[in-house]
Amino acid sequence: VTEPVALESIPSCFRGVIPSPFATCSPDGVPNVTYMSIVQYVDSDRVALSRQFFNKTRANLDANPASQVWVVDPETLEQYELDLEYLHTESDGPVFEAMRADVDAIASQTGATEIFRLRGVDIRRVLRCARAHHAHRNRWTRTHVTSRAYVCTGDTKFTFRLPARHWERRTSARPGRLKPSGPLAYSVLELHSCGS
Amino acid sequence: MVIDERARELLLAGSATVVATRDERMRPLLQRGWALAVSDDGQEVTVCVPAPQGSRMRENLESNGAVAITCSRPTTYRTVQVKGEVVAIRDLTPEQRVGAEAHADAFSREVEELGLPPGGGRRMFDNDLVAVTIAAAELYDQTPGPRAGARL
Repeated sequence: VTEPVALESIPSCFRGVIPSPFATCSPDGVPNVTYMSIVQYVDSDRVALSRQFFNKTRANLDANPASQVWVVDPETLEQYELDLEYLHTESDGPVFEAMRADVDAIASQTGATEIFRLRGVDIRRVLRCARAHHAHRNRWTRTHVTSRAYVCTGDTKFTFRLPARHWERRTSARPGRLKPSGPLAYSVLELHSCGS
Repeated sequence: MVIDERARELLLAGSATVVATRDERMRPLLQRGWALAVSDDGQEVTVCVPAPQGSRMRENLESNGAVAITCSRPTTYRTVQVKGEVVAIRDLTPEQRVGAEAHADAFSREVEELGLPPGGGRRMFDNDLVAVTIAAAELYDQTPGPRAGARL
């Protein structure tokens, strides 16, 4: 079972840096997938999605409020899947204005002002937020430091273990040698006689 | 339907590939796809997707088989979507495994141009893939703009 993730804990995902895949489903069971330029945090239970140019998405949501969006942390590239339920659309107010500022910034960067014109903001309830499934999640690759260290003092051998937070997840069949992001603190794992 | 040469080029040019399925309650589900290929006769599309036994994705693929695949170029926003139903779920061939790895490398290089960390795109790659083949039924231009959603 994937642990739920609090929206407040992933603020970087809501800056609009990496476009978010967004899926809906028609009432007769045909999925549709497009990209959202921005998913905006509203509160601990809701997010806002820009409503710009989604013809099929719009029709699907009118008939079926269920959707899923993925947001990506631009610093760690960790992906999160959010199961959503459409609540309502806003075309003014603080959420809309905040979203418009973000969309305008993207439009000016890309030179596509008309394409990215904001038509409204869809407010959606977040039914579930969790890290996106990765089958390799439980396989780990070592950083350039060793995961265990051994030190003998007198007749006692200390075995130290590097805490899991300093390990990087495997991202391919050819694991890279990744550097830890900060100081390393080993914890004592075992004590043995040096002769053992 | 038959995917013609122009549509084939558009599909294969999209380095960011996303696959959507749905469950029996019409709830959509996303995954990233890799190494998309179009059959020689243009009637089928195969994509490698993380769908291990017991996963929601695998359950959706096996229970109703409705699939949408969107291929997009992050540097140009050019986007194409193909929809269809599953005709086969297979283990990856060695060639598909190599193709998926190559795709992940290409995707990673492209998103580096947009400012992501070197090699960062590969962090979205998943090793536990199956090859899902769909019979192509609909093809759409999904590029942001007024023509988004138009049939190709």
